Amino acid sequence: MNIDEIMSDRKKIAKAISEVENGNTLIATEALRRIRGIDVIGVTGVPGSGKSTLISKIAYKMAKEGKKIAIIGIDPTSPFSGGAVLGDRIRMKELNRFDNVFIRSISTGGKLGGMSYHTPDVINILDAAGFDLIFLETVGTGQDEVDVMNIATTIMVVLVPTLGDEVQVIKAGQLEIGDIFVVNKADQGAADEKIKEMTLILKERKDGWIPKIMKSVAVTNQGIDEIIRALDEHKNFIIEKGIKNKKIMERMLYTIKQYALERIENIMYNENIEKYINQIKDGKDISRIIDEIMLEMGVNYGKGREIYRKVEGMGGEGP
Amino acid sequence: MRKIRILIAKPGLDGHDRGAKVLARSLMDEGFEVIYTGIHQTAEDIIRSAIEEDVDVIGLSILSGAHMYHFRRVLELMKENGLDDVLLIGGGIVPEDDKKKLIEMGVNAIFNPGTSIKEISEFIKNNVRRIK
Repeated sequence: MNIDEIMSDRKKIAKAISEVENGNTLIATEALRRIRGIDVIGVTGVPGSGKSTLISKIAYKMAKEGKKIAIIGIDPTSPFSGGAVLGDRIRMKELNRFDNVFIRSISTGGKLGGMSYHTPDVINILDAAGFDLIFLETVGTGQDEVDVMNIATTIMVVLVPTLGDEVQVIKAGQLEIGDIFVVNKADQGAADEKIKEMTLILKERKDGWIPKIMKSVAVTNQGIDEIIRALDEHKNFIIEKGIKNKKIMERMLYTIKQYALERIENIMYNENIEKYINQIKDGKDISRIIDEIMLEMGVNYGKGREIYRKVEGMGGEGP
Repeated sequence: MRKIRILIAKPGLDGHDRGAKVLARSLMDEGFEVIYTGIHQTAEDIIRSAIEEDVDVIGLSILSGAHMYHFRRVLELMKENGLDDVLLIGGGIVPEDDKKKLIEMGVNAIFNPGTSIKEISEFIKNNVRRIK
């Protein structure tokens, strides 16, 4: 399959995504070489906050104007069975009428951080395939899933009224990464209270952007135009300030980093876990197994051992 | 390795989706990736989702009695779009006579009420056409 062919139709794009999810690094790196650096809007927030519905409403208006839009919806993989229920499409039925929209659901594959190892590859394929804009919906998140910042050019954090107080707002994590905050379901609970709490942290960022906060009721289309305006504003801001190129560069580096991380995980767990368990059962010294794993990953653990011995007060022989 | 992907959809006007949801969840427990698209799907919606999601199996849940129509239309569109390597299965209230006709038409299996999840899961694993 070559990339020019892939770009030509929906079915081929879908197959190419399956290939990279399956670990086809040839297609993945080919796509990485060909990315054009299009806008990726990362949408994140707690489960049930309305991420899919908001994306659907925003994408509807943009698609109507003729923009070519791709949407990636991520849902969690079961830690028990390895299966998943991917249910983001169900909120996006109204987009079925557009030929210029492509939707794909993917699972986390058990990886933490809000995305799968191959999410960047999927984004790169869609970028190379000629879409104008990609929405990347993370899994429903808690506080700490900030990986989306390595891929997205604009980050929209979806909040709902009534969750937590000001102390929750000033903590590190997700609320630090949003370029745009949307208090969705604003018809339920104290949305204005939430906005007041949020203003505590809406200060100018290092790059000069002042995060925006707005209300919406996605199901009735309230606030959607305002969100689109804010997205546009941020899009122009990063171009004017020359930050966009840096963000695209970050995405490329992050893509490559994921290959390395996945490789390590495979060495540590998937490929060898049973071998190691059997070795431990047979009475092999655990520290020797650790040495072997570290060597396989290209880390000379012997040096660490020397340093450990030199540290005063640690005593003994070390690990 | 990629998991076997199954699209679960309810075509037409039938709004009784509890069974489909239970099935989606149970198939997840069997290790499948289930794309749940919900109620009121047209055949065109179903085919579009199946293509974009690159699924291995399409599962239709129909309790309304309109199974002959919906399966025929989905089969037609599957042929038109070259989805020859995708399994088409169904569940719901389907009389024995109709079941035979549907299988002759090209539906791979129909599971009536009372079928165990294991049976459905085994059928999918044994019949899925794409080599993972």
